Amino acid sequence: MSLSLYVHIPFCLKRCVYCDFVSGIYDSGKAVDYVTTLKKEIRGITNAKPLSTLYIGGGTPTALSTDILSGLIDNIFNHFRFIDNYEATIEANPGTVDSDKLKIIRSAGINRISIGVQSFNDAELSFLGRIHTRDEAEQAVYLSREAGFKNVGIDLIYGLPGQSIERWKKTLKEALSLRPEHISAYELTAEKGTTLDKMLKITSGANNLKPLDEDKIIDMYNHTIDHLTSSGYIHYEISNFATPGHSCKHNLNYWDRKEYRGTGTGAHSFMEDKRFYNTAGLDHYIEAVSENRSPVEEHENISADRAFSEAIFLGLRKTGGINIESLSRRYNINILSRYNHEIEYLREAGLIEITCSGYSYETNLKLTKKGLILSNEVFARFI
Amino acid sequence: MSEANIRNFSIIAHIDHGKSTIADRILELTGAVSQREMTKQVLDSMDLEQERGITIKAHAVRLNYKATDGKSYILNLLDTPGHVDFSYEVSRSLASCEGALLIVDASQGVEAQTVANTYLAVEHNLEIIPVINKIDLPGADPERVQQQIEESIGIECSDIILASAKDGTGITEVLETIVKKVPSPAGSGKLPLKALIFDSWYDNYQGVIILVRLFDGKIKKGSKILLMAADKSYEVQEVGVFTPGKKSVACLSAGEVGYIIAGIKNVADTKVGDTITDEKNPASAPCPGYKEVKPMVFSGLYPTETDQYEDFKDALEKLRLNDSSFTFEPESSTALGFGFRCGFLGLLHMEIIKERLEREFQLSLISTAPTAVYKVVEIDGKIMYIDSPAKLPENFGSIEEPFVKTTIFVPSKYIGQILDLCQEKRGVQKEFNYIGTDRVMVTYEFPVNEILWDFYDKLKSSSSGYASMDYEFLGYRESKLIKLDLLINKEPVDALSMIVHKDRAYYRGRQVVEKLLEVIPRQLFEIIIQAAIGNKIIARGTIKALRKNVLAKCYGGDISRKRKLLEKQKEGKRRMKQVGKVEIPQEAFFAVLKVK
Repeated sequence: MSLSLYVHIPFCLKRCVYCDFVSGIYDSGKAVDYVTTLKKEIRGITNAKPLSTLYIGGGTPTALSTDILSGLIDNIFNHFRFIDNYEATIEANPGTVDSDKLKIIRSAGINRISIGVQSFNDAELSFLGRIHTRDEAEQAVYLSREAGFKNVGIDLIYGLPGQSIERWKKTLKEALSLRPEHISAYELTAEKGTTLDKMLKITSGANNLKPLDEDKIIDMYNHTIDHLTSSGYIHYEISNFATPGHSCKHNLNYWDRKEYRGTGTGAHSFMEDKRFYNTAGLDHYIEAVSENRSPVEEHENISADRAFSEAIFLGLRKTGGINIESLSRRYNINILSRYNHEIEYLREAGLIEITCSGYSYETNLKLTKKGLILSNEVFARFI
Repeated sequence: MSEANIRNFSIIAHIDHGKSTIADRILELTGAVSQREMTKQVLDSMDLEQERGITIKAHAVRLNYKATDGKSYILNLLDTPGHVDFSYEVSRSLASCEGALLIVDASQGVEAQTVANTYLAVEHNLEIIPVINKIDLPGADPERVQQQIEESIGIECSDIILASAKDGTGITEVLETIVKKVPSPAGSGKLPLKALIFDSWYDNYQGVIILVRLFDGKIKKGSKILLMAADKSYEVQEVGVFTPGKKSVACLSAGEVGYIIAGIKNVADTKVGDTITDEKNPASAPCPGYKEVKPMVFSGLYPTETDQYEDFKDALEKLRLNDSSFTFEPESSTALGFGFRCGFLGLLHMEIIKERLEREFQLSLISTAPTAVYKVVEIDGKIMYIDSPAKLPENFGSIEEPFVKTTIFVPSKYIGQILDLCQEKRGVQKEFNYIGTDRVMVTYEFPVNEILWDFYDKLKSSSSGYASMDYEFLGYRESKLIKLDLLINKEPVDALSMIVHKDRAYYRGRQVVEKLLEVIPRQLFEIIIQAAIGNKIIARGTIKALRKNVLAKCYGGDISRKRKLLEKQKEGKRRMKQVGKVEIPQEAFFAVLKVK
């Protein structure tokens, strides 16, 4: 048995307009205190199990100085054993990396980098509040290759107000020309309380912003799937694509509803059928850990029924769907009998399908292409 | 105590004019309730009553008062519901009294309801004691209000009492005036028993508790009584009074107010207005004015989940033990499945019943648009009454609809909007009078159908909340009415059908289709909505299929948040009723009424 570890770095040089994650503006003094605390929290976790995946996310982990960052990574690698084919990811903002930093991160043991490119159009980047240009984004990919990363991922965002499908196609094409192993393409969503949400709520004025037409977003999504799958990528989750063998193991672990441990502010964990999360307040967190108190803010026990619902809505996010036999073995509930009515309805509506592999006994329940984009309608029926 | 020292009185007031607070102060001053025990609004004991600030059930409290003349008096305070839906109950309470306090807010002035209830009190020959309340408020203008009372009600107000229930001003004066002016009861303890039922309710332990006013005779434990209209006999198990706690007494006699328990199982047998007399030695005639209250408004109630039908039926039966004024009979709808056609005294009554069913019995209900009862003359001349558009036959001779006479009070600066509103609702103006210089009283005749739903809300919103209204039933009149059907995906939805005036059918059809397009959420397939008269489609609209509902991002481990979002979406669906494949929210069933 192995463990998945998430490490949160809640600092950015600047907040992006769409961001609703736990993060604040980078401050070198705060960062030192925080990472010291984080190391302490990590050392407190039992290292009986080796790590299969590690994910350092944020925020912007690469906003930290090279010294501090390598100190943190070393701390993790010293404390935990790793399985042989482990996956260790770091999120990077193109505006915060240089050749040295990337080399040191790589040699410390990190073997996968997820670069927040978002767009290859400078006007779009500036609208989103990104601190880098398209050239810097491209540069970040080259530098990562140079530093020895064989598994590079690129994050992209589509569906910006006023964006044309042609512009999105161009960004996608440029991304492909860099041949990343992994592409995440997310629809821009205006989460409550974000700057973007506020911008969209201003309805007066000359340059008032309108959310992009739903039909255009659907076209962009479908184009993304068609274009990437015909370019050798596997569409393995609603918004995620990878070349064979490069699906993100750490994220698959979430969707497979397996255990993970989160560290740092606001980080979520799922251990022994309990979900819990740390306080999101930086000072609060530092204070708790340094006084040897738990930084956990809330625990939630998951009932058997909820666990089953979670397994369905998480599992169905994967385009391969859920294996009916292993699901019923794990939860002792047969989905086909419990949700017989819902499954019939959704099949008839063309949102899900049941596939049988010809040469094995595997029967999978999965979303259709239409179902992917209406997935909440599907999931809500299994809650 | 002799009858000469008994005073029976009730309180007439518009909502929020301070009836309950004055009652509370009186209870306090007479020592019936100590300051310590005082929760606000002692008499409104139901949760719903306290939350909404309204009185739904009548109460009767016996108070002991030592007046300044040195004598001790028994004051019986009868608290009555104020809303027009319960006007028959109000009239029976008033018939049980010799006097009434007329309470008017010192800044709001006279309202329609106050006038209607005061007229009712005058009809019953009650001594009216006008009181202007809330004189401590900054906007108080007692002189203007006094003038209004004189002009609109026509009672002399030279010694009007100025009071503030909040700080206790004038409360002693109120009690002294009651003692001096309200006549003592006139009946005789020696005549055969004659008691008027003015309310009753069901108690889980003791069965039905009846509130009565004795006009003649005596009643005690063991008395054999006859309920004259119901024609049923019982043996009395207990008599008593509320002080305000329930307290049994040996005997109630002429002039007194109290309760009777006689092992009665069903409130339907103890109808408000019925007379209780001695089985062996009955009164020569019952108390005048008995009538069977008939529901005015009908609506279909259906459980949102079909497996709640049996629970719903039980709940209706239990609630009816407590409230005999609503009726129900099984009804089935092709759209909504099995439910009940329920009759109510009015819209407030309907709201209260629905809320109590949902709250006290944990049900989730869908109600169809309320409708009046129509009188249909069939082709062969037979007359039928229909309480649901679905029951309207395809061919008929003529149709009549109920009309009400509505009295509206409004500050003159809002009168323009109010007249427009009345016009829009097919109202015919009958009277138009100024009360003082700044208030207008208008009387209109309306078809009940037109004022069923949003009339009152609109009246309030077009007068910044100042207009008030009251209505009384006029009778049936012939109208050019037809049935308008609504179709969803080409299938008629019986629960959405409505009876409308022929001249307005096209307009209404278009409006309702528009409204349904607005309130029915997009679903996985296209939905076509049509309005039709017979086979003729008169309006049409389409709700496009939902194409996208997706969470693009789901990582970072915060699974609980995603689950909660989905749970919320699921809960939204649960509140809707599935008709065929289409999920329809409650608002849709009211859409037919929400249009102009």
